[in-house]
Amino acid sequence: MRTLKKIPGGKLLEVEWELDGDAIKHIRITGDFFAHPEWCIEEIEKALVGVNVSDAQIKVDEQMIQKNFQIIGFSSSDLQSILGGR
Amino acid sequence: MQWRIIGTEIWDAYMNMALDEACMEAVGKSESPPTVRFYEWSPSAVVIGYFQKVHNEIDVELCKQLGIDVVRRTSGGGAMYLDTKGEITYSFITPQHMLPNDVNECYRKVCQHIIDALSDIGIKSEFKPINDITINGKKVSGNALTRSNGATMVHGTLLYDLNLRNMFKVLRVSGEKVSDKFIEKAEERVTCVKHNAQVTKDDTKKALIEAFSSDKDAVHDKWTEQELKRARQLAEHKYKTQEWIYRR
Repeated sequence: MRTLKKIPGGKLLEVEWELDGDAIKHIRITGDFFAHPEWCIEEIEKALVGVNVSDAQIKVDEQMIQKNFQIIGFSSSDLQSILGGR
Repeated sequence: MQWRIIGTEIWDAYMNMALDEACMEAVGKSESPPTVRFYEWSPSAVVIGYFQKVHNEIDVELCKQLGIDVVRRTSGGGAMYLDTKGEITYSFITPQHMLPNDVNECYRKVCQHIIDALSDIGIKSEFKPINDITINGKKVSGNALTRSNGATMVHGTLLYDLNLRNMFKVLRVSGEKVSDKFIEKAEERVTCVKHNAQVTKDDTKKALIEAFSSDKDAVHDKWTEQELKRARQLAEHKYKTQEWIYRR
């Protein structure tokens, strides 16, 4: 699946993902947002593999707090709303 | 703390991105002083943000035909068309501790130099969070921040001249045809120095360099041999590679 969304007050977010049942099998997050450090997006993508799609936001928040990641231009709830499942 | 001012120089897209990274490495290790560099692009180039997909943003085949370089940068944000004649680009590179922790404050602090430069040439502009500068609500400058190895860089571009037709020839605009109406709509959102003041590009560069230098102990200098060597390595083995350009 693939969804492109301009986040109100934020940036353009494109998410491509595949599910295995309710679990995320593959996810790719692209767009014109900012993230610090930049490699955090790849870390988050890896961390989301195997996670129930309904729990994506919780997983992203956990990663951001634990590892002090910062994303500017979209939020974990924007990502969850694209993925659905909540 | 003494600062180093470099440029204005002209390089291709790969060396421009490689020099940013080589300078960040040297500044992060305290081998080079904090640096502000000013540069232009030859040939013209499209630079995409770290998280963007090339084929979403750019007509790569057309870029090849027109001799326009395509490169990915290390910072996030959107794709930019950097015209040889139209752009003045800068990178502000310091040890991380010299800029605020808050990213938005970093943008505000660095962008103030651009606002001061524009004021010096008679143009009133304002900072528009997250990372833009506008004149009467129209974007004239976009900026991006990245941090690595103990250094912070805010790099950005100031539009001196504007050719929206050239820009949208190569930048893809999702679902919209680049018609006359589209260009008119784009003109309502983007502007350039030349449309707002009777100044030359050289005078604009001078104002920019002055604005970045006047609040610092700054000397005009050049790259170290080590930085140039490292930049050439990075240009060849990172920025020019398909692996890097198409990594997302």
